[in-house]
Amino acid sequence: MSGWSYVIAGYLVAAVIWGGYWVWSGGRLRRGGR
Amino acid sequence: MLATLRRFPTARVLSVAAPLSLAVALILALVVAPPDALQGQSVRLMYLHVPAAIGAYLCYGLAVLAGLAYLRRRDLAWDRRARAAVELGVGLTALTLIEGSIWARPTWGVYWTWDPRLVTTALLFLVFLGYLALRMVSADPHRVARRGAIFSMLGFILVPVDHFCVIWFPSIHQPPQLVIEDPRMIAALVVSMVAFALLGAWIYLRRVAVLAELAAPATVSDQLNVAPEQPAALPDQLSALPDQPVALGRQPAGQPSAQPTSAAVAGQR
Repeated sequence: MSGWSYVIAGYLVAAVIWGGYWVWSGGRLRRGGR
Repeated sequence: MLATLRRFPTARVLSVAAPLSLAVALILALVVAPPDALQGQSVRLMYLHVPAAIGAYLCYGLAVLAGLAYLRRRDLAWDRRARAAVELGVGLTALTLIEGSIWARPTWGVYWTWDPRLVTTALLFLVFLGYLALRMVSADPHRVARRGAIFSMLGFILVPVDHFCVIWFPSIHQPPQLVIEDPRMIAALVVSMVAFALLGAWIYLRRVAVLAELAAPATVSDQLNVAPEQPAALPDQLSALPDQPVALGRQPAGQPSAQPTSAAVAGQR
């Protein structure tokens, strides 16, 4: 893998973690979310 | 002055500032900052790894302070703030470990090694994951809060151990020196830290608000609304209807039946 492949993989993981936490923190994942 | 501070639209400001700083940080980290002479492009992962690690330390510190505030005032709002801080801290620690691991592959040739810094950070992650698990053991919110406050103080001991172990037990992980010569790299790192701080604060405040909402007692309007699972009571005469329509006698063709139809019953409900 080239250096850029690691960078892309790393930034994708960060986007998933931050994005997932942002969605979860908004309370919309609860059943009947608001 | 405190009243003025309370009126400050923090959430609205953060909802603009956080994505903006994130956009700037991404441009600096991925485009403007040059590759490292030794590490090549993978140095760009440091603009995620370092702010995540510092952010995690700050989150755990905040959790300890909120825990202390709870122990002093016995106000569950402080426990909610502590819980949200640990949740964010655990996420950031996971990010630290993952980014570090991805960076390590091209740099050290391995995804993982039993270096003191790596092991302590993994331990920190597991300990505060344990904090979140411990919260599920008891149903009494004050007992949960008390245990959480004490547990987070004990777990926080790992933070200075984590930070100083690269000095006490030098191994493969870099010591905490910041010798960056290129100002573009410094800018990328600093702006990334700002972006992480603003994003973290924004998400943290959202989470605290949701926890407060979950903990709030039912409002009066909630108590007045009929729950959808409970149908409104039928009038007495309709509830006595037999399941099958009973013939009252021969009806002329086309004449409406004297008996209420199912549609009429449904309309009554």
